[in-house]
Amino acid sequence: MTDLRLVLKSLMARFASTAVTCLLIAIAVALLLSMLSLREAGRRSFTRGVGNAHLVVSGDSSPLVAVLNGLFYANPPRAALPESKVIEITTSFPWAWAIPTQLGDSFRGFPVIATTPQFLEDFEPAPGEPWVLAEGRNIELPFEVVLASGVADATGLGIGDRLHLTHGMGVGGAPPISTPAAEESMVASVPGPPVDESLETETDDHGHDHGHDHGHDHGHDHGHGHVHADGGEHVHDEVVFEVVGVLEPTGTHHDRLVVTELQGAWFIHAIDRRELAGRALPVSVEDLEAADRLITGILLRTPVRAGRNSAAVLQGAFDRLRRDPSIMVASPSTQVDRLFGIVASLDAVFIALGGGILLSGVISVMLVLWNSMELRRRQIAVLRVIGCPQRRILGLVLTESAIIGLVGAIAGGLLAIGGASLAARLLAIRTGVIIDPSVDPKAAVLIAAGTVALAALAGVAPAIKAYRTPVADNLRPLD
Amino acid sequence: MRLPEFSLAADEQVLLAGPSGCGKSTLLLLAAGLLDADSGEILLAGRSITAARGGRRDAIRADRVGMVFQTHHLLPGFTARENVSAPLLFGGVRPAQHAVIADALLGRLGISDPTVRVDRLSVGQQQRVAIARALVGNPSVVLADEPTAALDPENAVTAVELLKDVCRECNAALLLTSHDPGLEGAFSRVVRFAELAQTSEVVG
Repeated sequence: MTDLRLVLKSLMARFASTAVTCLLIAIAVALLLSMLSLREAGRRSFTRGVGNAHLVVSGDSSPLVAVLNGLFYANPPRAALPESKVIEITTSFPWAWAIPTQLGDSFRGFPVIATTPQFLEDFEPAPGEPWVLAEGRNIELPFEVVLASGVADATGLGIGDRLHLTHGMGVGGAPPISTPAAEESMVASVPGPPVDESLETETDDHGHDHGHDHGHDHGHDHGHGHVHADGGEHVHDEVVFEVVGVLEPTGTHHDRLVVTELQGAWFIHAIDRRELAGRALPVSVEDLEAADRLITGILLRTPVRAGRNSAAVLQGAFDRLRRDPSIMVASPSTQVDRLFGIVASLDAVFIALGGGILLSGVISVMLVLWNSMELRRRQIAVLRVIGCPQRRILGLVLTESAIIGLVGAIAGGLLAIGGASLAARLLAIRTGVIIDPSVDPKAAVLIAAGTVALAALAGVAPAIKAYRTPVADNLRPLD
Repeated sequence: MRLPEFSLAADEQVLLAGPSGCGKSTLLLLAAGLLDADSGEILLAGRSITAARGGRRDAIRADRVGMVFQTHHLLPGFTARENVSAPLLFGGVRPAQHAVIADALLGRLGISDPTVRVDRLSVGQQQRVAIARALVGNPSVVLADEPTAALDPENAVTAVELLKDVCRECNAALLLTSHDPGLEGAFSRVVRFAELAQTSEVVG
């Protein structure tokens, strides 16, 4: 027989109430820990996901939206920029690189970025970590596609596979930007996987050549006769794209990207535009007009050279671009900081909520123990009779409450690890934001110690009650 | 209650007889230091429990006194062995020795399975566990407060004989209270509470 055994048996004798109080504390601890870990992980992930782009230019209405759309693929940008504007911006300054991008299409829910081969050469999805091809090669010609690892894993597609893109929104017009939920349901309703036997047969029947010259003779199936008067989402099954490369994972949200060549994307939008206008459809990228050649954003990087004040160079370029009212220019790192400034107050609410739950858990520990002291008056009296000093009774009750706190804190820690990784997985699936949900050990130890101390504190009043239990009165025979 | 003088020899076994509610239990609680006397002194094997306070009084009790009650007052949910070991915990005996000491005593009292939970035992068996618990710390005196009240007359006599035997084997004096005249034959010395104590009259 030991004191600890005495305490543990007492706790186990009231298993239900012990379990409920432990659970209450565990939930509070888990909430606190996951909030803290997710906040840090989210911030790290966003900061990392900016990659090595210094500036984003788009036709969006606010700099934060420009970054969320242009670099985090939240929604297709609202307005497009003409190619002339792009040329003006890219030639106006000795950029380290300037990469035009066009967003708005998707493939099975994954965002499609139409761009130049430079995107996979110069843009780094995480600072200092360039893209690496797992197999195949970079995009070179229209209708070629490189899949990021997440897309290749999810779809099972590889080199040589063919696919159709889904038109996310009309670039030429200005339809409302759909909510992510609506977009997802739309995509979910898109019929049939694009790469199956029928597709292969169909494209073969039409004699399309997927060799190196599809830029010239890549046609579309007039027989389908698509009319998209509403400009809403639809599958571009008249144009077939071919996978030429698959990327290694980067551990960022960029792993959800489908990268394709700009002219191919322009081509499918040109079909829509002319179908709507009742004009003859284009048959190759040669038929593209200036009105077709739209982009939705430019990723820019200012030159970084030793001995030069890079921050001042960046600031100068930023200020100059900002003077142009027809475009929106944004610094991704500034906007990410701003975003987390906005989210910080929300975090505080959640953390306060966790603290509140922890407090109510601690109060319930006190109430449960207080009530149990009432029921255990006889047991306390018996312990005194067999020689247990008053002070030791005090210690036994405090140990009991501290153990509830400890078990709650440990269970809460496990719950937080499970909860945070579940949240991370959901976040990755829903938004592509990859976060590393590791619980900061310092915070974990601090919260666990605080919980045990609070729980022990909650045991003080019941312990004093036990300490003061009159012995003689509680030894009278039960009738 | 006024108690001019009462003493018990080291190996004596005394029945304190008297009707229910006359103050026998109070006397035992005073002797165990669980109630405070207004005046006077109570010595247990030469040590004054009335002079000691707090933890020291608890220590004297753990060392010198074993108690048995009418309702056995065992720790529910614990095994027979754990109930008997509990006083050893407060008496400073190393935990490694607890099981050996408790099991031997339980065996002597006819409880063959020390790992059985006390709530699964019969009333008679529970009383024997309570007796073992009273004796496990090698007390100088066992104070038994109506230990047979919950038992039928036949079992009552058996229980008292067993209690007397183990007290003798353990060299502990026995002071047993009872309102049952049937037990008087089992004791060589019977003290009537009414003759011993002068209960003060309640004025008003």
